[in-house]
Parts: sequence; C-alpha cells; structure tokens
Amino acid sequence: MESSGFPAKIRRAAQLLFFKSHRIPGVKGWELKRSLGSGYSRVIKVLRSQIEPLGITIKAVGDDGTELSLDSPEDTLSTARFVLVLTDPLKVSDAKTSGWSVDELAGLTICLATIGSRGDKAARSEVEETLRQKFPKWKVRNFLSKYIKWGYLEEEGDSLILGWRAKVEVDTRSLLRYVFGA
Amino acid sequence: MRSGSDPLAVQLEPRLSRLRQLIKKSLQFKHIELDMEALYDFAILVYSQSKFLRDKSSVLYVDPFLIRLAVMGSSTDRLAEAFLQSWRPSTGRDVLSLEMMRRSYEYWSNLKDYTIGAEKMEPLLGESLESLGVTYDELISDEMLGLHEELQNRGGRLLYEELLGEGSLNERLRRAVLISFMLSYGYAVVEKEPLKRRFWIVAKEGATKERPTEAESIVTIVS
Repeated sequence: MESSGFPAKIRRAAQLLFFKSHRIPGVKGWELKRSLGSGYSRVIKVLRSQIEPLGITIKAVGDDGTELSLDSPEDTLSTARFVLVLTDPLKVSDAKTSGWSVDELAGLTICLATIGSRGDKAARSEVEETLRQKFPKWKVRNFLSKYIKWGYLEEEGDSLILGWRAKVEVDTRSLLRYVFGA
Repeated sequence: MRSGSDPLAVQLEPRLSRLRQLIKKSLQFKHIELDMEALYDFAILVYSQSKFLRDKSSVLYVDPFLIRLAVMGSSTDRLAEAFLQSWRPSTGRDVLSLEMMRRSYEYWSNLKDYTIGAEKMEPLLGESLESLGVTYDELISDEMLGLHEELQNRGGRLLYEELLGEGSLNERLRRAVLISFMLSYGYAVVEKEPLKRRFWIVAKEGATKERPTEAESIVTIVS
C-alpha cells in the first residue's frame, strides 16, 4: 500500500484540508474517502504527524460537536468533519493581530459560557442580558450578529446554540473552568 | 413551556390523572387524537425532567447563576484570556474554485445599476436647510455647541457610537452631521484605537477654526 502512491495521497489530503473550498472549512470523511480511497484515515494520520511539528493538527469532529479519534472505524468517521486547528493557545497580542478585539473575545466567552451552562442551548434574551452586564446595548447587538456570521453561534427560534465553529474550535468544558478561574 | 425553563416546575401527576379521566370519556376520534397528543407532550416532558436531573447531578454541571456571577466579577481582559486558553482556531486558505467563480459571476450579473448622476447633486445651502425646518446658523452654532456641551458633560471622551446614541435613523444622521461639524471646526478630535477598532470623540475647549460660511458646507443632498 505504502508505495509511490502513498506520498501522492498525503499531498492530495493536504490540498483538501489546507485549501478551503466550502463556506465552512474542513472536509467530510466521505469526501476524503472519495478522493483518497478506503484507508484514508491512515493517510490523515501520517499527514498529521508531519504537520504537528508546525503547531497544526488535524481534528475529526462529529455532527454533534464531539471530537472523534482518528482510530475510529471509517464508517463512523465518514460523516465527521476533518479540520486543521492550531495545537497551542494564542496570546492576546496574536488574536489582536488576527483582527480580534479584547471586547469581542470577552463577549464570545460570555456567550459560550452562558450557552454551555444551559446544556448548549440558551434563550437569546438571557445571553443578551448577561452580555449587558459588561457591554452597552449597541455593542451587544453588534457582537451577536458577528458571532452568528462567523459561525460561533447559531439561531434556533428564540434560542442560541453553539455554532459549527464553536464545536470545532472551542473546548466549552475547559472554557467554563477558565471562566471560574478568571 | 418556554425554552430554558425548569421542566421540574410542571406538576405532572394531577395532569396525568385528569387525562386518564378524559380518555375514558373520549368517544370521538378528534378527541382521542388530542388526548394522544397530550400524552406525547407528557412523554417529552418526562424525558426533559430526566435529562435535567442527569445534567444537574453530573460533576460537570455548572449553574448558570454561578456563570453570571463569574462573568460579573471578571474583567474583560480575564474573560478574553479564558477564551484564548480553550480556543484552538481552525486554519486554512481561501482559494478560488470554479463553483465560487460561478457564484461570483451570478452575483455581479444580478446587481442592479446604482449610479448617482453628478447633475442631481447640489450643495446643501442655507435655503435648503430652511426648507427642512432648520437654519444653517442654528445647525452649526446652537445644536453643535449643545452636542459639544453634552460631550463635555459626559466626561469629555466618548466612543463615536455612544455619542451617536440609539435614537431613530434621522436623529442619528443628524447627530452624525453635527459630530462631523464639531470635528471640522476643532470643537473635538478623534482618537483611534485600531487594534480594538474603536474611535473616541474627545472634546476640546473651543473652536480652532473660524466659523464656516454657508459656501464651505460639505454636506450635499442627493435627490
């Protein structure tokens, strides 16, 4: 199997994962299988070992937001989304360089902590009210529309739930611990 | 029952007893159908109660009230730091695909023409302002000085959006024009915080420029 075709598969996997072609980043397991054939999870694991020294890893996330092991059966991984994420936390200065303001980061913490403490779904009015403890009304409206647009939150009727990006990028349990330690 | 409310607040037993009595009396299909619907809703409620108890007894359960207290007691810097510790941003590069090019072409092709004829633009002179119920003198002296005083009374330094206020669109447009006059004639200056994307309006003691004449107005009306 690991003949001349294997390095080509690793390069193909890197192309699929690094270059965003959908609105939501990452590639579904079935898309990887279609392009790389069965045994794609082994290709992904080799690619992961090659990029991890650079501070980037590959994460497989199920539809419900739970992280799946790359050793899971390929049938289980077929609906998972494979995404490249950074391995180390960013510093405030790094986040600012990427265009985030401290207030935006703090506002998102409040939203995710409130939703996380309510079993991943909270009334929009409650989230707004908690944000109002820290920010003026115009900023609250502005923040919520940004978080929804960026994929961190989703609207479900009068409630807010975690968006695809929060599920992929944020460990909400550890966030709650840090909020209490903050 | 509203989303987010406590499922245990609903007393199920008396409602089930009542439903039991009603089912015995239900003879028409329509009534039986309604009874079944109620029974289904009760089953959902029991499930919610069970899930609520399971979550609450979990070691990972965090009371929303405690979260609110923690949020109130933390600075924005500490909250931002908490987020960064549990955040591993996704990465990737945007590339142009054929599908994206097709969608872009569709978007640009469907845009309506939007042009403003230069001949339709005219300077906003004193006479035009009068037709709107305000004189040029009032706008740049009384109202602008009023806003300048308000800025000074509110600490002398405010975010642009805060000074603009939350009134109607017309009111905010009017204040935006007044702010621009204040800045143009030295009653205030702008302080930028590019990293936080914030603009502060800072009051100055007096005008640094001569009062403008009508002909200097930069405001134009587009008909």
